[in-house]
Amino acid sequence: MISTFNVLTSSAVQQFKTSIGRPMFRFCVIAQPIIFGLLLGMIYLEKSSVDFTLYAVLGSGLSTFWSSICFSSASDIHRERWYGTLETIYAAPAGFKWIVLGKIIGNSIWGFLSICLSVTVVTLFFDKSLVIAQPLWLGIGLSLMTASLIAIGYLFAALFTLSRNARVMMNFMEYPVYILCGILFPLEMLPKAVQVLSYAFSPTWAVKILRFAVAGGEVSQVLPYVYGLISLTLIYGLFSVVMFNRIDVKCRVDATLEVY
Amino acid sequence: MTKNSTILRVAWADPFKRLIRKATLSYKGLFGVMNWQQYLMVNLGSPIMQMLCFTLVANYVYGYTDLSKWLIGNALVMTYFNAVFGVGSQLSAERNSGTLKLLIASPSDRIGIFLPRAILHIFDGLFAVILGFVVGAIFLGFTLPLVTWPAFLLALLVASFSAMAFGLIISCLGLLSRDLNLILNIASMSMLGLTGANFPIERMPVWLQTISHAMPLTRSIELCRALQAGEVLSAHMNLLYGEVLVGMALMFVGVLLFSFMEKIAVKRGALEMF
Repeated sequence: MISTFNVLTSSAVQQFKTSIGRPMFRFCVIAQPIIFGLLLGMIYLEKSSVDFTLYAVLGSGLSTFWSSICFSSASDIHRERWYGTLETIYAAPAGFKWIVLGKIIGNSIWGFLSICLSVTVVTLFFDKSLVIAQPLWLGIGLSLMTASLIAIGYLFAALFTLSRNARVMMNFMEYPVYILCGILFPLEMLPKAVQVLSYAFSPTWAVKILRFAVAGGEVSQVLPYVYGLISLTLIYGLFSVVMFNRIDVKCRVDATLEVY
Repeated sequence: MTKNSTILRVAWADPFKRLIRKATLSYKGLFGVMNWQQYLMVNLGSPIMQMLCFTLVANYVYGYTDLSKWLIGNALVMTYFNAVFGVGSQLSAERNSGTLKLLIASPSDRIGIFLPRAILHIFDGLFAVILGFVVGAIFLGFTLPLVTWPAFLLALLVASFSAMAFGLIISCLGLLSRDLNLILNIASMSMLGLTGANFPIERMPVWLQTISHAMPLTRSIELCRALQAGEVLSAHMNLLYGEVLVGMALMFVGVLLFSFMEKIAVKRGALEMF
């Protein structure tokens, strides 16, 4: 147990220090929150304070967090493959799945910090008052969302261990999630059938909790979303573990750990 | 046909064929490694998703009546995917393939190396925008009066040309920088705001408005919005000429910048990957 914890911590710390060295990751966690924050701030300038807080401030932060998942957690496996180090960490006695989980935690810390950067930039540049009716629920929502995005990153990492098309996929899956999960505009703008599909993605539930934190209301209104988010996070986590166990065999059979 | 006329015909046709060959080869070099699914996903899927996303944001913020206006803005911004990630990344891609030093050392004239790289991307960008409008028509009810189609197409072609000229300037940076991703992404994302695609330009500070008016696409977006609203092209020829001028100016600056940066890159030994 202690050795697993050590592996997780070491992997997370190493990833936290090295990932920021990559220009693309720097774009995701530093430049994108600033540009997205300013862009959405300009767009939402004349909307209500609730909309401004939810979509310009938190939306820009959430979207950059998601981008950091797409371009780092999901793509780290792809990167290791190109560096020729995937086989090495795969065969390490510390355990491949723990090393990967540590990497994703390290990236997610940067993702969370990008939300803070986005909030700071939008608050400083725009003369709009931010509304947070339930600060405690904002903390709960952000914490649950971070845990859920770690689970998604872990799931993607598992799926991309098998695929050599990770780079293409990670480029494509950024905007569909912004649209489907109501990160930049209300989910109700989408057709009903698409809204049903949206609830398969945990950021949708997280946005609902954040909306409650911003706009306020009865606690009973938000609890279903909390339970939904926790359940989905557990499902993602469980599915990831199953995937990693299957990968353990499949990677050896298909020999997909190398670039060619 | 006499021998002399054949020689004349070949002399005329050869540079043109060479231009097309260079344009085709550089385009294939960029996308040749992808299969058609990957090509569609990267070249059309992501830009169309971005267009849909920001059009839906605008739909919520500004209301249903203005939807076409914002769809046009975001559809035209799609040309930046080709400009920035297609044209802009070419010299950087040459370095990664180890061929940049061969290209620079070749006896070809610099304009001949540099300009053909944008040609196919102009039409590719145009195709992406048209596809964006088709998607907009299917899912968001976008309509365009039949009578305005020729003028609209001309405006789109000019928009794509000036966007690619901007891409050529970005590509020059690839001569010096070993990792262009940061620059490419910042340039691409800034266009969502600086061109007036997503909010009125007047909301920006005056100094940013000046930059916005010097950017490609700002005028094209305004022109296409006017055409879609039923206005005639002749009433907005200043916007069309302005966009052509911006494109030509950017291309001229790009050629100068290429020669300048080429010298610096050779001096610094920045033509190799490591």
